[in-house]
Amino acid sequence: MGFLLALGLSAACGGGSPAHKDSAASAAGSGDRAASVSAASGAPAKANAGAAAIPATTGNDKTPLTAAQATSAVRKVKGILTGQAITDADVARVMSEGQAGLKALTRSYMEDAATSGAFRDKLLFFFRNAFQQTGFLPTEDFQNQLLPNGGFDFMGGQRALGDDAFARLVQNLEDSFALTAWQIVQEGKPFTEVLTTQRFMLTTALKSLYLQIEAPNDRAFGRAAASAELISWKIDYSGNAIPIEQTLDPNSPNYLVFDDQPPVAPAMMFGNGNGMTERQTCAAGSGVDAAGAAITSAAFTGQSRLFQRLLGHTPRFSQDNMPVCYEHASRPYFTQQDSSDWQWVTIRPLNAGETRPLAYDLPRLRTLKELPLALPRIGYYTTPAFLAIWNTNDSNQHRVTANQTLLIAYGSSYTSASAIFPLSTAGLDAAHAVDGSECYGCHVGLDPLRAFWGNQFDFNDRNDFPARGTRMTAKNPRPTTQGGVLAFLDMNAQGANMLELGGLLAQASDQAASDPLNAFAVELTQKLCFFSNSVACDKTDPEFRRVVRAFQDQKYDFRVLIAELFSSPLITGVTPTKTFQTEPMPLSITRRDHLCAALSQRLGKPDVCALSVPRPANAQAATARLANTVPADGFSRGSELPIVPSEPTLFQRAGVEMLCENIAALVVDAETDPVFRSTDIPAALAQMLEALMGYPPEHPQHAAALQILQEHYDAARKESRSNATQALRSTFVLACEAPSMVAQGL
Amino acid sequence: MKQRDYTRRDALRAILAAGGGVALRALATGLPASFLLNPRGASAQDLECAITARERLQYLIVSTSSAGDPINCNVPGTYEASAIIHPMQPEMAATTVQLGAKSFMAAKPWAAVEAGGALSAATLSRTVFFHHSTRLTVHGDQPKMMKLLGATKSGEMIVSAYAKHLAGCFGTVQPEPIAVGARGNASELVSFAGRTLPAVSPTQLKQLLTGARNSPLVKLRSLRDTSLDKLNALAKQDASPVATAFLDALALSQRQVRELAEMLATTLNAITSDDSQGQALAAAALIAANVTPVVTLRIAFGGDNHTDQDLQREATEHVTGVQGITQVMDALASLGLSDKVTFATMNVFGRNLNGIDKVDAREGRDHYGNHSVMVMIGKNVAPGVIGGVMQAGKTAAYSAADIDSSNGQAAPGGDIPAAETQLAAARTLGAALGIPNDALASDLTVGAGGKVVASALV
Repeated sequence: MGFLLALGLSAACGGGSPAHKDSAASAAGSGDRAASVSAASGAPAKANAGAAAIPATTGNDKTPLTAAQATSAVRKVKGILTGQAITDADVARVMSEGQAGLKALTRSYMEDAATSGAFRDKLLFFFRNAFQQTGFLPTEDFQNQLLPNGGFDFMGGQRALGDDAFARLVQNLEDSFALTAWQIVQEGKPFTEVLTTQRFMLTTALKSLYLQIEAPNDRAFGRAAASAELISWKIDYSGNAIPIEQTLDPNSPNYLVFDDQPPVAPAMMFGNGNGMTERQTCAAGSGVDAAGAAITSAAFTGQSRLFQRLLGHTPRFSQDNMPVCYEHASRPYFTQQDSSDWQWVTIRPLNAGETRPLAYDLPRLRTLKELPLALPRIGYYTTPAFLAIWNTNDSNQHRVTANQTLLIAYGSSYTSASAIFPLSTAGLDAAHAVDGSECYGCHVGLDPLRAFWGNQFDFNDRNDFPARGTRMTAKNPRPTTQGGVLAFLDMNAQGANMLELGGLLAQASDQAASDPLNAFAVELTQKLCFFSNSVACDKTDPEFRRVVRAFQDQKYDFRVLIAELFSSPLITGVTPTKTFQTEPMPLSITRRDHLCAALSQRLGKPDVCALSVPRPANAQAATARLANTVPADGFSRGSELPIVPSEPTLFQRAGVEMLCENIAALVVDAETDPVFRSTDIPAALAQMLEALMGYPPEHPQHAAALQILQEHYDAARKESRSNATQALRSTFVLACEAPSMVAQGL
Repeated sequence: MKQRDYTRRDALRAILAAGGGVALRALATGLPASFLLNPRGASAQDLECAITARERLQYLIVSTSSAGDPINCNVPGTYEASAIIHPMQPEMAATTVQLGAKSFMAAKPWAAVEAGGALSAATLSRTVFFHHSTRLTVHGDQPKMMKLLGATKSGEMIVSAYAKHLAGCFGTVQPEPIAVGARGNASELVSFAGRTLPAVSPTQLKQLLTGARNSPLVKLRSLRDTSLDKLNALAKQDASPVATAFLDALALSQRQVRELAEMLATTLNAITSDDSQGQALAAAALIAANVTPVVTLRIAFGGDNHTDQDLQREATEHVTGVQGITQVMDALASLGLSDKVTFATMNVFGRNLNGIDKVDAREGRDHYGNHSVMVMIGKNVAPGVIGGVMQAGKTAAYSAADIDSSNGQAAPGGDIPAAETQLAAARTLGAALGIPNDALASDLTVGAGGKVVASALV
């Protein structure tokens, strides 16, 4: 009866709440970035349509829970998985059906149109961090792969970039593997494929970037030694459009001539205005040489700066001490569609004698489903984003790359106590690892492992392998062999090349004395424990091992793991398991991305924190700055533990307060699409309480909490004669920073 | 292989057994204590205070710039060679600067107030000019400079290495440095343990702690605090002890925000912009509140002045730049921190002193990796000039000289080769902060080079 009543109340009271109002938006994700992801992956209105069915599991405990237990459990689980507020129906189901009810709810969050988009967004965020694909500084960290003085290293900085193609491509880099993992989830494929996949979710812009990384090294402004490999191209300064088809046509007079159109959006550096009054940019045909003759075009060599032109940057001409045309922003060749047309692309080895597609042949790239490349691309550990975060060099020699790969897969890496001796010590650096020294234990395992990368990736993670050193680059002749050795946990096996590493990584077990489990599955589950609890689960906890076993037995279907783990007391804390037997489960602050997802979902405002806006307006930039003061999830070099700030601090509190104050103006009596209106205070307060704070009507503290909001509103009206709008905004801030919003697990 | 399974409880036990310092920081920072034990390159030892000579310990404020300002061109030590080019403006006139027992010539702004300069005698009595070479010529190499061209372990920035040593001793709220001057310049951001740290501008800091004073929502904060207390009390009804403790911590953090805002109200309210004055105030406030051991800011000394007719910009910004240093000193003094904080400059490169046409014509200066200068001001700093400039031939460009570590003087063939002078400066700065050289050595690669120059220290 109570359950039915709760359902009815929920339907009656929740219909007008922001959370319900915008369920379509929820299904489509919480922001522009996610929307592009959604569109590209073909996500229809029902976000999980086409997804494989989630396998059923057994062992569901239907012991009823108290209202307090059910509320706490479902608030945490739904909040973490979707960001949405709980309803009376959610609580009622978990009260009556206990863990089994929660498992059913968890499955529904993954499947139902109203929640599955939000679930996808949360998973994408988790995957970006878990697979260490985010956090690089593009202009600095890509100077290895895309070379300095070209690629992402823009002279004049990002002020000399037109529109948002660059920002979108950077987001693509961060999203690509997360989306790859998501598609593996959606298709019900074994999640161990993240270790072995050679199919990636890519956009046209990313395909171009992958090819650009393999372009001839033209470091130092096209002055590379191997000049025969470098193309010659031109910039036409007239400002007239040159279709890319003409640029690609050897028979066209515009063959390899790129235009210099102004960007669509005003740029800081374009033409002779906007901060460039003293410098000649030659944009729109404005340039004259020393003799006063018009400068109509400029000739360049090499592809690094050509790639910049694709991104909306017209490079300086020339690079000597007397440039005649300075760098400036221009209209990118990459369209918005080029950075949102996500699709599966198989990356395969380049065949002998085969020619790669051209990085600037955008018409061809847009239809390409298979990308032939010389560099092996497999799993999370060879993506450009991962390699940029963990840049290596001729001293480190991919040790960091190998180490971080292990940390992601297993949550552990070599120590001096490592006992296993690899099948082969090829690659062991005698200078670094003297037998018997403390260093030896690490190097003896790590060095043969890093050979997987070192034998196929140059120190700059390109395919250069210079046979001779130069003033700028140490020599690194291409190794004559490929492959390496994984000697870790119970694995001690050789792989013939990089493409075999993933298969080896997927085989390791956690070496438990009884009932050993797949080590990757164990670590993935542990990462979700950190994601949810901000602390580790005990890997020897029978409940933990039950969850991992269920995941493993269901062919590593990630959705099974989610359903089993998030209905488990490991997450809900409803009953003590070994993990929290002597110390209860701690609470955590709601970290930035959880908080922003919750606000976006509950307010029906996609990306309300403006964290994913490629080119934010001033107001959005201000919101994003404030959001970035709230502690966030992260990872660190060499650390076996993720960064999951959990304790309240003064800066966290100040940041949340400022963020809530900032958002108040966007949602209360806003000029466009307000969420709360001061013309109907009772409705506004009820919405804040139920849809934002997550106190559904049947919640035992509903009335008391509503009274606190009402009293605050009334007091704020009296204080300093503030008007209804300001008083309601202050009430919104109160709701926004309420304990149920800022504390995870309450 | 033995797996390491951390729980918060295990980590806290281990830490508390070791003295509890990390546990307190874990509470303060919100980072799991186990992380504090094991971020990149930061061992438990790094984050514990392993320094016995506590009275020498100093916080650090670093002015750093990727612009490669010509700060190296007009300091003491560059006026002895007549070929070195200086601006000709009266405000930059060569002026005697007294550094301890020795007198040097320098651009007027570096001189004492009594001589028309901008620095107090007290400041000059603890100022050293350390001539060195960064061997870099590209703006984007600023992070490389901070990592001492690969001489730091795990690619840690040297300021973060200092911070790790100091944080445990000072018990700061966070071990990571805070950049208040980086603005949008990515290459001037600071990384710590492999992670790039967000920058906070002075006005952002002010806003974070005090908000816009005329905002109606800020005016209602006090009222909201009362209402929030009620919501906390409501949430605590039937809450578990853990939840109750967490809610109390939330409430405490709220009070801390208000208290910090109140404690630093005068300082924070004086911040009106992100200029050098604002940065000075923000840096002093962050240290006064014991938030971080290291703050970076950015004081301009002429910028990227390739084209600078009559070196006018260089002249103008030298005046404002040295005033900026004075503003830092004044901000520290106003909070009683003069003896607790060391100031230093660290720039990606210097600029040509002579030897190219545009410099000789005073029309600008280009990037120069062969000479730079670190200005150090602090209680442990002995006044003077370390190293200097030298010329490979009669017409060659001046560059940083080798240094004799026994007396700090420029000495061709000295035991600190010019190529290692940046490391020597970094080691010496570490010593000036009270970090023993053997402790700092753990942050540098074996054979990194450079030596502490004792004559730069008291």
